[in-house]
Amino acid sequence: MTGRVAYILGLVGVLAAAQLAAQMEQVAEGYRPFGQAPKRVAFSWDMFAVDIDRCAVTWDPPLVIDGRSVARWRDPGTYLEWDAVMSNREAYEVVARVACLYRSQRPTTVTMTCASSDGTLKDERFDCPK
Amino acid sequence: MTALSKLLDAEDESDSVRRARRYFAGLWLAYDVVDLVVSGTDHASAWLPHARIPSIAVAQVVLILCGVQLVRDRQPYLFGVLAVAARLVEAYAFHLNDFYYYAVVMLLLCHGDGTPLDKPRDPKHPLWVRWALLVELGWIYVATGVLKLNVTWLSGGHLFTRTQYLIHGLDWPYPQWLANALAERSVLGAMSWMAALAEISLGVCLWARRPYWLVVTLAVAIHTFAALVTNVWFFSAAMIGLVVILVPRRH
Repeated sequence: MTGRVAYILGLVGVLAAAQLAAQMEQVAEGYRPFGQAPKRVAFSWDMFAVDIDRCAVTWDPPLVIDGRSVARWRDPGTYLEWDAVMSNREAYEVVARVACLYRSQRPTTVTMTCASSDGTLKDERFDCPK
Repeated sequence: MTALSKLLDAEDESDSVRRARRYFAGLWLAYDVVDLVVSGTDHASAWLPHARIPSIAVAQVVLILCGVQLVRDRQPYLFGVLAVAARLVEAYAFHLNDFYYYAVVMLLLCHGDGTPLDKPRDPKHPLWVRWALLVELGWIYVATGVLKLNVTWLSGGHLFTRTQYLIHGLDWPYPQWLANALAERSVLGAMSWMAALAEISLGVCLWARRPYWLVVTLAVAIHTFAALVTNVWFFSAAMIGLVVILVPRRH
């Protein structure tokens, strides 16, 4: 076997091994066809297959971050492609509460509209901590 | 062994891998420039104000430099491997499937003009790279389609979350009739089944390398749908372009 052939087989072998190992990890994590959803595992190609929550968060009155008014979660980011998201509702709430450090007035009310993979859409409202 | 040698020694009469590499590199160059300017990945990795994350910024600069050279078709192996390394650094800082996808695909694309161990008698545009890319793309579709065969996806729950977020969080301008339909689990469930089956079918067609019209139709349908309900644009454009360029038009 020439060095070139060994190189090509090695390259293809590494790519195959990494991706097969990722699928085995999915099974080890509990994924089963027509059963539990997969987890996030690098090289397993789990895009859009995992359980997620997504929340739309607002602050009323708006926060002031680096001199900019931020009334909604989307305000500091971009509209297309790049979007700062959390994987579950609890993580959104933690960030929403910490972001209260940037409030401009008291009281500031936080509203979270959260969609979950179980098909629920819930509104939740709370005041920033005093 | 003879069949393997025959495959590895075959010449690709078209320059499809080179065209695919330049297209892929150009698309991701645009991605990285915009990403660096708007701090997209940096912001996505932490919503609260923070100092720029050095590893992401450095990786982006390296990726832009490599992207320019790859679009110009200069030393594709060198800049391709460097770009793969930089992308994996970025993926380490911010775990994103798109980044792993880039690394795997670019690692194959950068061999389009041969390996560093090639001799003058070896093919200038080896066919095995094109076939390996089609096997890889097919695997990505089959794997993601099979992983979507789970209770959450098939019930429409995942698409419900994605689309409701776009409606409530990003004011996505869906027409009212579509917004109403996207609130119906039965509609979303049917869409989810179709999407998973379409992905698996596309993967199998890519392995078979035919028929061209069906492969392109499925790719365009899947990724147009994905862009509109998941807000993923660059990955969609990358996949459609690779499929259009790499799949043989006739046998």
